[in-house]
Amino acid sequence: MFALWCSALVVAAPSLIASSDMEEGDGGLISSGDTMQWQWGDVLHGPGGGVDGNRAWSTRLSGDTFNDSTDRLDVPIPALDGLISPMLRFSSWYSFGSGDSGWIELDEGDGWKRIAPVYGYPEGENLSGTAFEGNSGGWQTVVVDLRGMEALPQAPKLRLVFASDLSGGGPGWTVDNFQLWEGDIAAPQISALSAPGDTEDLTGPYAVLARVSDDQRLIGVTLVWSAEDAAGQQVDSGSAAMTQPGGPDGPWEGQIPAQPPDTTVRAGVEASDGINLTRLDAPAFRVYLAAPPSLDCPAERVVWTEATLSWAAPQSAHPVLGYAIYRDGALLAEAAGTEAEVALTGDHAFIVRARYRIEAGPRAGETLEGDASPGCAVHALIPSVDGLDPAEGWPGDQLRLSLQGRWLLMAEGEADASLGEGIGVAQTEVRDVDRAWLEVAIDPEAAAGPRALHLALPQGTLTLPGAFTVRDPGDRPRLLSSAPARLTQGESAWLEIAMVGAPLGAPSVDLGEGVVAAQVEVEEGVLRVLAMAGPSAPLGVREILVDDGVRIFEGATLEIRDQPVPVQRVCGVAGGAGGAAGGAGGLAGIAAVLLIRRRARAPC
Amino acid sequence: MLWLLACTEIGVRDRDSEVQAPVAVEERFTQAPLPALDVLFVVDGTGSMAEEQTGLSAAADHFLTTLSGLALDWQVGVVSMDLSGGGALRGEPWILTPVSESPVSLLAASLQVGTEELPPAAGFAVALTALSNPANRGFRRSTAALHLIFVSDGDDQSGMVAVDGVEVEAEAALRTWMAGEEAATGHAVRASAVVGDVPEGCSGAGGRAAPGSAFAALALSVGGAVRSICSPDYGAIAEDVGAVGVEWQRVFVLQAMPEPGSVRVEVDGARAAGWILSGQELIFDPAPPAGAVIVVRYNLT
Repeated sequence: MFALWCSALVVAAPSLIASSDMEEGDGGLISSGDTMQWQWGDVLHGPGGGVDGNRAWSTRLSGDTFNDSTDRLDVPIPALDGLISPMLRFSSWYSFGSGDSGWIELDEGDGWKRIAPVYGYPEGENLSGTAFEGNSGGWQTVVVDLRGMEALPQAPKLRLVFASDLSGGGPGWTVDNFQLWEGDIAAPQISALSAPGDTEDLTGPYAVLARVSDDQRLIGVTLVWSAEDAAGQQVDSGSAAMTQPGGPDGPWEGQIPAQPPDTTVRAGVEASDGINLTRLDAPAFRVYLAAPPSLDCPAERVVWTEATLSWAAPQSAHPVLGYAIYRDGALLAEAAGTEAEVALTGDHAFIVRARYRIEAGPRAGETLEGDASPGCAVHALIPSVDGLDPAEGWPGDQLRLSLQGRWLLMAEGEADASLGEGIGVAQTEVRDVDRAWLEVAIDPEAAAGPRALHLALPQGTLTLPGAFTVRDPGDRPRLLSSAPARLTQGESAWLEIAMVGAPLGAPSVDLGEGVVAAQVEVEEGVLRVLAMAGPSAPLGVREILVDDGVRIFEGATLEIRDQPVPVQRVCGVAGGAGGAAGGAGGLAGIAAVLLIRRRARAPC
Repeated sequence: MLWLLACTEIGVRDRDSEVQAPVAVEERFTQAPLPALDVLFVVDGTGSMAEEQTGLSAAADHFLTTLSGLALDWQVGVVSMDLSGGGALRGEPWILTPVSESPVSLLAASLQVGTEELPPAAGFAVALTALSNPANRGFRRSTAALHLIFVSDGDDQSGMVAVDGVEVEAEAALRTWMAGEEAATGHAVRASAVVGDVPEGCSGAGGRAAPGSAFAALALSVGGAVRSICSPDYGAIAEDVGAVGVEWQRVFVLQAMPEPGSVRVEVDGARAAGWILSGQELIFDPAPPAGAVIVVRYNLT
């Protein structure tokens, strides 16, 4: 008997007297019963092995238990002579079918009696408290108190009994690692441990309750706790002796001081009987301030520099002062209500936190942010204006500016540009979604200096500071004069038009109604224009306009004159007696004038 | 005899005898495309189109180079023939312009509409939807010509579409829309088709293509091009289709009012017909060919 148990010295403090881990042998345990289900060896079913190896005793090593069978496993107990406080400990795993159970029996010489392990059999729903039933939930340690039996004339006998009913088998019962100890090896038992769930209580303290018992006597029960911030850094910790305010049969109670929001609190209860220490941790709980339960971003891509976010107000006992909007993890804006326009620079992730005024507790008077709302993402394409070309002009200029940008999505009639004081934009002509022409007239009195471009689109207005500069008027590109400055109806001539500045593109020249600019040549500082005046071109002075596609040059004039009528001095000699002749001389003079004019019209 | 010497200054205009010498003017114009063109590719995305899309995508460079060579303010969009997409243009940006960043690679990517679509390939219906989808705002410009390019190895299967609450054939609805758009904008609205040969269909690297009868019929009826999707030369197809899509100038404005009956017009050195004069506007029908030099001689009144 106990041949395979290892012997150890007997000492006063808890010490191991004998043990078997069942790996090298069956420990001398004996199977008996209806179907002799208890088997020793490699456990292939149930827990799939022993508690610290492959081998153990089990009600069938490789299959569910048999029905309608009572089977026993006799556990030999070494002689207890000389021991003061002997205790048997073994590891137990069970998963019984409905109606099946297991228990411990002890024979002190007067027959087998069912006994309970230290702290009894499990009790609860569908658990009678008189046997192992249901499921152990994993390996458990079972302690059997053998005190008082050391004086028996012979060592007590102990066995494990498994009984199944007529139906519904299960993986059964597996036991392993039997140890005989001298001394108190039954650690205090902690149960019914309760701690607050997640709470918005910032006032505290937070009560932790537990039931604690020991098979002999408790020395102390302590609450230990720690608090971590959102980053997992410990921000507080402590311990406190727990008390039983309800008396010796009541639960033990300890208190954790108030914690700030967004803190995770972990608490445990430690109980000591002077020899053994038991610790049981409660589920962690958070101290928090409620988050907005939802956050809505635009579902579609946004082609603009702003988007509207909306969220739901949180349900909280604390008054909400407003909201903080975070973009990509950084505080972006604050809002009083549950909607806000937010700035976009690309794709972003947003969250919103409520801001609360704390009215009680250690944080009274403070404004604290609550938990983050669910996140939402915005896919944003940011429109921008690259610039204007040309980007400068002079007072009095008439210009055609090219505007170009990205993601402008301009459409006809929906884009309107302005350049500020002293500059009129007569037309914004959309070329494509990213480009437009601006027909611009700069007031002759416009002050020199930079101007911002404001481009109004259906989505909003884009502004580009310093997009355009009005220069000092002195060096304004313009026409100076034309030589010749006059043409006669029907006359053709090359005009030399002096100018300040040079055309940026091929110029077209407008010489006014009835006058055609048949050829245009550009030379250094001069435009040479072959002007052809129609025979009935309107008389008078007209302005010469030169358009190079960007700027209208003006400042020179051309006069169209009627064909000249030559003036002749006709002299006649009139005699006193020749009055008629004198008269004839006058007519002759007129005739001469006509003749001269006709000759003058002859082609040269 | 008393002689009196008398001098008189006289200027008299003899209007009856004035002869106005004509002033002959010569103006020159070079035919250039009207500056704006919107091009919408409507590409079949059914399972048999992988090879064709690859070829089409590879021709993106050639296509855009052709348009840019004409100095056009072009806009190009791509939509697949899958109605479930709501006609939303593909890609980002979904409207390509000459100033888009890397437009060739963007167009090449957009033309690969994928092959996951299930029939029917609803080319006509999708084109109609795309041109009215607010999400595509800015694509269609009233100042631009419009060219639709249908690319499919099958024929259109749009069936009926709802127009103003009335069910009509998609092809008829599209034709009506195109005619209305051309009338409203004064700019050409064309369509071309890169489809299977009519009436037999054809076989190419991408397999067998059914005849694209409806696509081809639409294209031919509006002055577009029809090319075989079985042709491996997508570059040439792109150039050809691009050229057809360009709208050429028909009206040339003279600087001054010509003397009636004095106008003589030459196109590339040859006496030209096919024009009328309306005030100072010289209107051709058809438009002179690309790059043609138009010389107009007339007398000033």
